[in-house]
Amino acid sequence: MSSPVFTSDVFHTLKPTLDEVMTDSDADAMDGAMVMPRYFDETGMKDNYEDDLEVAGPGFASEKPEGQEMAVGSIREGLFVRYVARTIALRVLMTEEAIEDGKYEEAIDAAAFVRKAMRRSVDLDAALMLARGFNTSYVFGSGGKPLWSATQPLAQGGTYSNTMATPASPSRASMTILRAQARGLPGHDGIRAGYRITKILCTIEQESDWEGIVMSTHAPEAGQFNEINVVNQTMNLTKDDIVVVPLWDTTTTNYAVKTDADNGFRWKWRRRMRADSWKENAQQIQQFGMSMRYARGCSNPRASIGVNL
Amino acid sequence: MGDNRHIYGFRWSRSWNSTAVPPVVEVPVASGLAFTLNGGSPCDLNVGDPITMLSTGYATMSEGAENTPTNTYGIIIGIGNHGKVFDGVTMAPNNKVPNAGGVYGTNYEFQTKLLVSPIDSGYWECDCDDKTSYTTYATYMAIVNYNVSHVLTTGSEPKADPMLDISSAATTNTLKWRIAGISDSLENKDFSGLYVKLLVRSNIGQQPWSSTTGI
Repeated sequence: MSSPVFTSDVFHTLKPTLDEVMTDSDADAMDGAMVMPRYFDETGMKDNYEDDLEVAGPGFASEKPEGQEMAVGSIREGLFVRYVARTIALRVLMTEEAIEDGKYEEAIDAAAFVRKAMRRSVDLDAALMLARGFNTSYVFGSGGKPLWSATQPLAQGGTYSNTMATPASPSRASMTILRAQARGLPGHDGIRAGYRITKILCTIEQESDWEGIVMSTHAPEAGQFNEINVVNQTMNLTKDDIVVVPLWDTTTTNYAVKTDADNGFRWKWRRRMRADSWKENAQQIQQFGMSMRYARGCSNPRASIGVNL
Repeated sequence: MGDNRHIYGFRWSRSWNSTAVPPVVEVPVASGLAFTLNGGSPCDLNVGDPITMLSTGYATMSEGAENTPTNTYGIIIGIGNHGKVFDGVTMAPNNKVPNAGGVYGTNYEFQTKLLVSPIDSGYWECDCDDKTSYTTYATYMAIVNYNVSHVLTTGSEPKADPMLDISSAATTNTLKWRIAGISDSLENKDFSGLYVKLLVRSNIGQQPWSSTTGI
């Protein structure tokens, strides 16, 4: 939120005296692309709001003694998550004088600056889910739990945890614990479903540590001459599976792993980025704006395990 | 948890009446204005700083809780007189009014001017200056409709770095700003961190219709 761009705001560009105009490149955070698509599943959204519903089956059958009735199983609704589209928008106001007199297009290219800000906003809002992952003030759906909780509800009763019980810093050992935890996560019916870890979500401070853990073919600890590194060899995680989230900057030690559980991190586009430009004739101020509508959330807490260090 | 990004000064958020752009008023500044923050180090006038109108007809920095608060007229949103300040020789482009600069004397064609938006014209966004007074969304919600002072930050000279003196938030009617809400900016990542952004409006201003006693 700010004021119009006047000639005073870009006064160095009013004469052609500059060699370089330095600004953020149009490429976004890492490797020229938004980070969000690397750990969210993107879909469209047809309505103002859409709902996801978990339905759980009975789990197991029972032995039937001769002549007696068969056991009865139940089907129950579980987590209900509503996705409500929000509008995110930004505009830049620029006086006609600033546009006419500015000699360097890159300094007054409102469209490029707004587009950059919109893409960064997508990454920020995605990262906020992780930053607030343990915060009980930010819950998803009818379960009343945040993204990561030790007491995620099960439809048929009971709870499960998608947090690491004893948080451990990045290491091969922590990954073996998380692997077992993922394998042991219950499915919708409450029975172990054997999920696999597919990605590591981490902050920029941890990038190098994770690369060492993921890319070593043998155990990267001192003295482990021949032991294979299961993270690389059997979990089949590669460098591309390390998702560094630069805007997850509220911590340097927390991290998470993503599993192959369905309907985890969901990003639903109601309307992708759209640009508009118009002019306030009385004040001779040009406006350039962009807006987008989306909903984001998590329908299945089994899709990730959070580590709160 | 982490601090939120600090953004300088008061920023235009929205108008009272859905006006698409903030109203702009050009006001003069005295020749060679020298403002010192809390009587100490010299300070420039920058976009985002609050100004008050003196009985001489000139604008100067509106002091806050670091000294005796003055009633604020408006927020600087640009440099007037075609974005130029007299540098002693000619009109030079500038994005601020340097302390003790713009010495135009009686040569009023070179008069230093500011583009100001009156504070009564809408809502403003500003950062809070501490992260201990309030630490959660709920505690910030509880002070909506409280009044608050702004404060110019000692040690930030030559910039005033105005922020909300959030520890002063109270129902006291003499505080100059009214907290209108929590900014819905995505930049409010962490309410336990520094520089939480709030929306404020005028409680006591300088327009004829402004209250002189506040609410």
